Amino acid sequence: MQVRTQHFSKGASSALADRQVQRSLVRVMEHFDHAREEAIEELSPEMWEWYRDKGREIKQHTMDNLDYYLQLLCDNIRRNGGTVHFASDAKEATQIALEVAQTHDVKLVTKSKSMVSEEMGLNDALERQGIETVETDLGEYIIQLANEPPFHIVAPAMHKSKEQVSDLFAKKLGIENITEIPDMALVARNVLREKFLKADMGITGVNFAVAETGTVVIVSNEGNGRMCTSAPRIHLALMGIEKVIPAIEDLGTMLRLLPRAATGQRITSYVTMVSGPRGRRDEDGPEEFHLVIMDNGRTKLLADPSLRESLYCIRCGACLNTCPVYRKVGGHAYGWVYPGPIGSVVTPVMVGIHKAKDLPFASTLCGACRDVCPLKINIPHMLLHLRNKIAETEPRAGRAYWQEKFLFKVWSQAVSSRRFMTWARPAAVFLQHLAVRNVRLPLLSRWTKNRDFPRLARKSFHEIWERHLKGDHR
Amino acid sequence: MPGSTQEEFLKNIRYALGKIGPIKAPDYLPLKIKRKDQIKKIVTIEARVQFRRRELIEKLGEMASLNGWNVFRAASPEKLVDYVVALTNENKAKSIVRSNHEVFKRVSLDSAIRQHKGKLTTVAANRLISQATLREIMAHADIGITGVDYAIAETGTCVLVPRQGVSRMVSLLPPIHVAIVESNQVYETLDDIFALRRLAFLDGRGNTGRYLNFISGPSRTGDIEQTIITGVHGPVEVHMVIMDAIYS
Repeated sequence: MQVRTQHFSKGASSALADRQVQRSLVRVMEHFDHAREEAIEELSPEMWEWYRDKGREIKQHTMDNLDYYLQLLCDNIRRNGGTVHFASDAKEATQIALEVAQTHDVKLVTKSKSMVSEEMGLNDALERQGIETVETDLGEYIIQLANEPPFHIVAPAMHKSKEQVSDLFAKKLGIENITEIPDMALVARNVLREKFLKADMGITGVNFAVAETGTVVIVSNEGNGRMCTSAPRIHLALMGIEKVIPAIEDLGTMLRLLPRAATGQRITSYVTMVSGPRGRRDEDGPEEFHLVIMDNGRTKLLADPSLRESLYCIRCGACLNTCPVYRKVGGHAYGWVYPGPIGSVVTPVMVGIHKAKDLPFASTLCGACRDVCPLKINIPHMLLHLRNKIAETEPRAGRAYWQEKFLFKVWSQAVSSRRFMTWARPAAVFLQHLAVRNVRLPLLSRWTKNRDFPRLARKSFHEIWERHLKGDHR
Repeated sequence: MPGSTQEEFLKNIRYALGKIGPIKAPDYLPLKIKRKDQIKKIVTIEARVQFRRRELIEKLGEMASLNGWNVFRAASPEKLVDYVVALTNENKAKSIVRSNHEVFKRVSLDSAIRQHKGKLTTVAANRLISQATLREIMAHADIGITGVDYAIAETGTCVLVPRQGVSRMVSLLPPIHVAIVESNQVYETLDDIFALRRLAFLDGRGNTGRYLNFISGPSRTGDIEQTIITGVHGPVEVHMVIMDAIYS
């Protein structure tokens, strides 16, 4: 996918100005947040904490021994009759997918949701080779028709109103405008059902890959994941290195965390476990199973002890739903595949820190993301780590860094002098009174442009203490 | 084939982890339990489930209803047949497909459906039908009926392991799916099922089913304005028939 992370503030401004996007954000984010809280309440908050800790232990152990578990996974997939491919970056992964498609004379591909395929820009690559590629998750199908990237990792078309979807269907499918949502779903069902049954290859993502048994696990509600792994003659699954877990019995924990954190469900309608191509006696299923394991910058996250825990992420989207920044600017502003707080951590490392230097700053560091994360990933800590990195290595940082250092030195000198504060504060109140508030200060225009300058209090605490309170405490 | 070799790829990962020397198996308890001890674990699970069966069936029904299943507790095989026949009539179903699960040997569903003008196709009962034709029949069937391999009370889930006689698509393509659960198939938690699957894996060295589905309600989506719609790709309507009386 094309990297547009440099344009964060532009993207954010246009999202803020888009009333439809703002309406959707308010409604959907509240809905997700509420559903998650209810699901945790039903399970009991104590149990939820217990599973969070357990899930974190599992992921931590796996990431610390990732070499072993990936090897075990590959051995077992091959034992089950599947083929494993390794891609160091998105380009290699795309070449592998194209090669598999071309070797098997694939004309039509049905795809269920995969964020890795978004990293690869796979749909375009397949289409360029003349291979028809259809997204089959309803949300993904809508944004494919609209030619847009996903807005949210769980609800990719959440920013579209039903009127917009209706217009899109009318335009792209050549049908009459429909007004009711169930009818829209029915149209999609019929169009996509046809595709499923004709498709030569099904492409899916992977939610978990069990090393012990060589099994990939796909969760879905619509059933498109089942279709893609049942009807076509080839199944190609795409995963990042971080999707592996050691044992089949670890799934008990992971499957209790993911649906609750993502959509507030006890469990998704379907959990599909694929351990290779169809068995010899099976009635149906693909003749071949291919698994692509992709790095694409993840080893950089793995190598940095402060960032390694970003690979514990199970892509539930809870941090997006709760983040005060995401809730205003939405998913497109972040400019790449993974938006929101976790995106602000992984994107700069995966696409290159100087292409995405706004992202670690697109946070108030309020910590809500860490509080809701089912794996307790310390996102604010990692954002600070990245800010620090940017400040130290920014090519033009020398000058700004010097100015900032100087300003803070003056500031710290000033505020640590009682005498200075006593005369400077009333002066500042007077000056602020003269000048209009919310001015753009000439030297700090970038900083003051989007921030209100709070009105200084007429009397400082120091003065109130001296005049009124001191006596009471004698 | 393009791409990296496994050696190169794992070397990069080991480099990132700061590891040298040969790849060593870490200490991880769930992977260390041997077959013998896994059997002991299963025995404990079976005993617990046996002891709490009535309670678990209640719980299964309750959770399944919450997830959108239509739950029916059949006190006898005849009641089950009546339920399915009524469903066939209500929906004016012309074509019905069913899998070849064991349970159909114990209930005489086929003749009842045929008597009520329903056209019944059994997947894999007849090798004369080609795969393509069979798929066509499944794609246009009104109702798909299957047994299950396990049911999970905690989540209101039916677990199906496709194999000879059990197509992946009988429970997926028709707009109505009926799953028949026998009372001895009901387990308590997700963990029970994964423990059982692990034993199956240890026994079969990987040859115990290449595919497995957890079904916990109708196919659904909330992708347009968060409005929940059922039946987007899979069944619109799902029925869980729990055979209460056979074993209890």
